[in-house]
Amino acid sequence: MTNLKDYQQEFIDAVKTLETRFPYSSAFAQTVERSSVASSTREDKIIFPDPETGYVLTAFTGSYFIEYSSYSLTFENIKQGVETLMSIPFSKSSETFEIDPGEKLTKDFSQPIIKDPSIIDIKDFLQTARNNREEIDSLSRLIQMSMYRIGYEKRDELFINRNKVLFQSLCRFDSMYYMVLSDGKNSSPIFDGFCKIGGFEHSFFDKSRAKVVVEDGIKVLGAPRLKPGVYDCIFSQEMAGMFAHEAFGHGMETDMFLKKRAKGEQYLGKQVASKLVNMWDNPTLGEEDPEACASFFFDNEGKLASTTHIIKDGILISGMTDLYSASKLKIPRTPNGRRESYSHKPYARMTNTYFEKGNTSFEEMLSKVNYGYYVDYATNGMEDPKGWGIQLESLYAAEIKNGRLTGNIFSPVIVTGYVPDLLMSITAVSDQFKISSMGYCGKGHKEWVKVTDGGPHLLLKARLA
Amino acid sequence: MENNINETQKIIEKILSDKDLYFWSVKTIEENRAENYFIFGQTESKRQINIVKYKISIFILNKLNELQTIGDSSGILPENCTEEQIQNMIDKLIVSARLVNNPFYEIKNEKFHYNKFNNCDSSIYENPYIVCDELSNKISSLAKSINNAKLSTTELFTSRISEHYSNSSSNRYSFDKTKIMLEGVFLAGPDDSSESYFLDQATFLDELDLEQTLKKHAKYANDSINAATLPTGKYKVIFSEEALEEFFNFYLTHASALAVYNKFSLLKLGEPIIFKNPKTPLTIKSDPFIPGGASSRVADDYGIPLKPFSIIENNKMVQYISDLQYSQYLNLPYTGPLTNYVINPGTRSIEEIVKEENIVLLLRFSAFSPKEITGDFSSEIRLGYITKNGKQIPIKGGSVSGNIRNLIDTLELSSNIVKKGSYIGPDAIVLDNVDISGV
Repeated sequence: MTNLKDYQQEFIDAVKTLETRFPYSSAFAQTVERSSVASSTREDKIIFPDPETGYVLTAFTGSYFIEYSSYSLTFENIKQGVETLMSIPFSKSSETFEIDPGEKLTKDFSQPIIKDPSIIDIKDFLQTARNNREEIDSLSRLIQMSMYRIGYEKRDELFINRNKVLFQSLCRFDSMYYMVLSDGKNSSPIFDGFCKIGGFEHSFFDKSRAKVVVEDGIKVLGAPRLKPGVYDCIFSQEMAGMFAHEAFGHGMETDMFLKKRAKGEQYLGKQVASKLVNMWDNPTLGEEDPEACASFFFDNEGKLASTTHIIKDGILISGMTDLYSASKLKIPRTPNGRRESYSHKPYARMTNTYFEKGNTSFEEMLSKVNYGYYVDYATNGMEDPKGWGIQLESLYAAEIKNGRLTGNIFSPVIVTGYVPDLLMSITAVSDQFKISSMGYCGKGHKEWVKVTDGGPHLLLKARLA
Repeated sequence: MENNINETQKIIEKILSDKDLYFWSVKTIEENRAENYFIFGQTESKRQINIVKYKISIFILNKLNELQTIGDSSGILPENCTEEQIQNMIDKLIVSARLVNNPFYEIKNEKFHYNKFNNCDSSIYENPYIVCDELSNKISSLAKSINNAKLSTTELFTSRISEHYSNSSSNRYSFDKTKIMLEGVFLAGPDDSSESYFLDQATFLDELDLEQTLKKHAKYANDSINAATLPTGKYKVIFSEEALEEFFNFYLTHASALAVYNKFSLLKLGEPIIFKNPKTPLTIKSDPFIPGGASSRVADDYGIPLKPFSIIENNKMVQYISDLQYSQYLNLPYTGPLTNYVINPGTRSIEEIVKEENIVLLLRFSAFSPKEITGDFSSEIRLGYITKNGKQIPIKGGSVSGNIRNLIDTLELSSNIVKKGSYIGPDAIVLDNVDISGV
């Protein structure tokens, strides 16, 4: 990997030069090393994805940002970037505001790795993927094709402004499997896996979990759809995580406040959820849970990681900010200024977003349902911060009658509704907490960043179809 | 076609040529992109992005239990890579490819002639930065002329992309393309309570009708203010706009030789995919040479020139989408990968179809993405209309769901053709007996 520190002084000088013309400037550089090794039923694949080494120089005109970003991380090219920004015309606006460069700090950070994946033989990656995939293939004759993929991402990031020189070294390890089951009349996919902070030490395969996934896949194959209606539901921890992310995750990203696209701005300090609900965004969670792999030490705009309490006992209390929206709205900065990469603009983005656990056992929760569904295997969701609508899709709804699972399965399932109605309907929050770590999140339909979400099981009322 | 390869690509080619490889290819991808971001007409950010990268793919012949196998691996190098880094990457790819023992398929050492085809707007290609500023000014001026809605945000990208390809069979081609991406949101109503999000993508400037796009979404934002949720029931539904691009995902996935090889395809060659007679027979073709098509391209990853081909003709599965690898595994004719998919139109226009009493026209969704493997679809409705007494009444909320396999017998397609990314087909897809879960 390119050593970003070789360019540190060049970026410090670049920021100094840019601030002779602009009131604020910063530099962000990154280098990423990745590998992806997949074994599927009939073929194997090894790829080394885009290393995404590059940098971006940011200059603030007094009212907006100008950025120059390049894939070419060389002294010469950084100078060219500075020259481009120094010569680029910009219009002066009457609406100016200030950017706070933050407290003085020079610090290096790194995530713990026990087995550095970059020095593990690629042969071991492939053998692990093959072995695990063969174990999965052996679980059912209905599995027509399975794929086991393992990989890693080592990412170094350097942020510099007039007060800060911050460097972080992050590493995460991916392990996921996907399979398609078919009986000739119907075909259906199912998947599971994780992403954890660290390295090859996470290559362990949980076969007992895979057995459950395959059994669920068989139940889903050819399963009917349920009759649309409003039902008592128990959301799995995974569904609860997606719900947190879509419900008051996107809607509390404060660039949406600036654009008047989030109703949440008008509800700060007001009750939006049952008193049982506490919701957080927390890029430091990785210190206690390696599966909280959207963790970091500082965001892409130099803000040190800290927790943000979004909903406290049902009351909406805080948004998540990027530098531009926090500065313009004059609200506190939170560590949520994130870019897809150096070549993308920063936005206010989530990190590890979750509902806090409660004190009801899952069994007690189940016993409270006369008729309803246990909803699991979240596939995708979509936010609507303006209208507070929501869409959550999942593969699996298990029927509950008189407090017991009947064994009847319906697939797929869509949850829709008005977000506050759903959140206010929560009557129990389980005492088991889990982070789901396989997700990425887009802003609209682009700008993909790694996120996780999670929570406990939730008992609520929702419209299912 | 001309091939203006740079020095780094030449070094990569030289190193690859000196190795004992069955086949290799290298593609240089250069992108220059301008991005302008606005919030309520004020600039939030302006960006210039310059990217050059090199994609290398290698193939090696291996043996497993005396059987000939093939191993491949691919990787990407950055612009400023040194000769040593190139050497290291290629060595890493070779080590990796030696570990892979996939069933053998032949990559012929054949010299090809390539069609002259670029998917490129000359103004954007010349200077994407100036075009981005000019378009931004035009959008700003048009938005000011709209009185009943506010343009909350726009993000405008203009890019020029050049690809230079070469391989071990001495094939070379260059391919230029341009891209425009406009994302925006209109707000309307008391306290700006209603919004309409839009995403327009184009290759050529003259494909963009900014005035029409902005006016349409200002109208949608207004129509959404008092839109009601439909009662739960079964409806005849016209899917349009945001629903089009991914609507036939199930058929395209199951028509791939990869799905056949992996034994989960539910489509059989020569057999009908629809068993009753729908109003419009379904015909889907792949065409790599559509001007402005998001998936237009000259050749596949092996450098084999692409051609148009049929997949489904008059409801019958006529050809699997077979790339070089799977065509040989299954002894099927080579078609190349799916590029732009072209769907034949029906006879009635959307304007005629929408006149039917109680028909529901759905335009905007939270996310409409039918499942590729199962054919299931479900989405929250963001905006649509129901026809009552000859008038179109706005609707929103609730969800639409179903399975395309169960509903395809009721298919009708409209007569007007639109382009949405890689979809070139009718602007309306009509299905009957579709579930809407509402109030």
